[in-house]
Amino acid sequence: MALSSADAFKISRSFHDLSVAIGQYRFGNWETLSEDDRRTLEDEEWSLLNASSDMLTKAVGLTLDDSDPTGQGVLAATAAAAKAVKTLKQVGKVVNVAAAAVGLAAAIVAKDPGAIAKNSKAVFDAATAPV
Amino acid sequence: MTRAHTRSGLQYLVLVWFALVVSGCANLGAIRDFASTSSDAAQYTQLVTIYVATPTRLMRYEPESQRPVLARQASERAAQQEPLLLRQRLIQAYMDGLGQLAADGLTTYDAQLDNLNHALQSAKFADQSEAAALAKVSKQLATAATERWRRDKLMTLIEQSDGPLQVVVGALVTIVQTGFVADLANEREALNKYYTELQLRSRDPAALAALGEWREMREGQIRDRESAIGNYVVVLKTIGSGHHKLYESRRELSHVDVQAQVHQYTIRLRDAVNAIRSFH
Repeated sequence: MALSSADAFKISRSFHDLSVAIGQYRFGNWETLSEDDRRTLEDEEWSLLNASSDMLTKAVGLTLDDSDPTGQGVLAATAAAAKAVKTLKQVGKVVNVAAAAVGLAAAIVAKDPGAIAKNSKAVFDAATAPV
Repeated sequence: MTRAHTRSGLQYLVLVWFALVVSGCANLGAIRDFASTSSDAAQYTQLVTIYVATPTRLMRYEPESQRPVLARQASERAAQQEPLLLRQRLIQAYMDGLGQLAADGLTTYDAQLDNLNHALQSAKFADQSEAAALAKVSKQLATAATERWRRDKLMTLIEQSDGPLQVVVGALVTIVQTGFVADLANEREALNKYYTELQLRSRDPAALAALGEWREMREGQIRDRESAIGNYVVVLKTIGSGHHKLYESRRELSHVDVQAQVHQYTIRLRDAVNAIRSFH
């Protein structure tokens, strides 16, 4: 995926927002979550925050134009995920969304176009799955 | 009588010469001030150092499992340090050259710009238009030094450099305004995750009070950095717009109105620099 600097900044922001949203869910439901769920969610939060930093580092070193349509798919998926986490009540669903997003972040870092497309769909499906 | 006439004629010539020199210097004084303040302001390198060191600072907050990722990021950011600093160095060197020509002095070639040329050859700047702009400004400075340009070439320097200089300054504005701000947002969230969890787990009032104080101090540091970033963006944008004003007025640089307008850019620069320094 050939990203422009502007796309990389946007994806970085998406991962940041998703990490913040999951953190708000974890702290907002602190008393009712099990220790295992807290730990799982926390791990995903840090992975997403670091994925955001990865995209930021890339953005600083990338070209200013040459946008790639794949970037739009990633943005749509992460935006849907952040929105879903704000409304989801069941921890299992939040964990699914978070895990799919972490998979997407890993695919982007690995620069694997097939895995990026597959994981974008997985994030989107997890975020829009019926409650 | 003849000797007295000769002496008074000489005195008059000296007075006229002195007045011309003084008025000439005064006419471009605002440009010299703008160049000198811009050079001083552009060399604020601390924000780059902070950006490069973010992954290392985050090790304090993140669990051990994230350490390899942060170590990789630290190494990737370290590799970005030189290109980031070279952008600032070029702006600084350019402003030094501009000020020297405005003072009718010879420009001195900054040997550190050789590092910029090496970095350009090693393709350390991904964006081709930015790399071309960096190379063009650097070449202008080399030409000014080797051809021993003086004040009569000031207009040429401004005319030929404004386009590429705007590209260089614009790219740096994007990096600082978008990249450094987003980097700070990530650090703020890391701090939030770390302290909120500790505060939720703690039952000891003394520990909670201490945590609250530490958190406040760290958040204060982030606010200070945020303010420094905002002011550095003002610095960069003012350098860009101030230089473009020189470009637009290049045929009447000594005009009193132009000097007054350029002086306003210098005041804005000084205010932003003072605001940055007040945090350190």
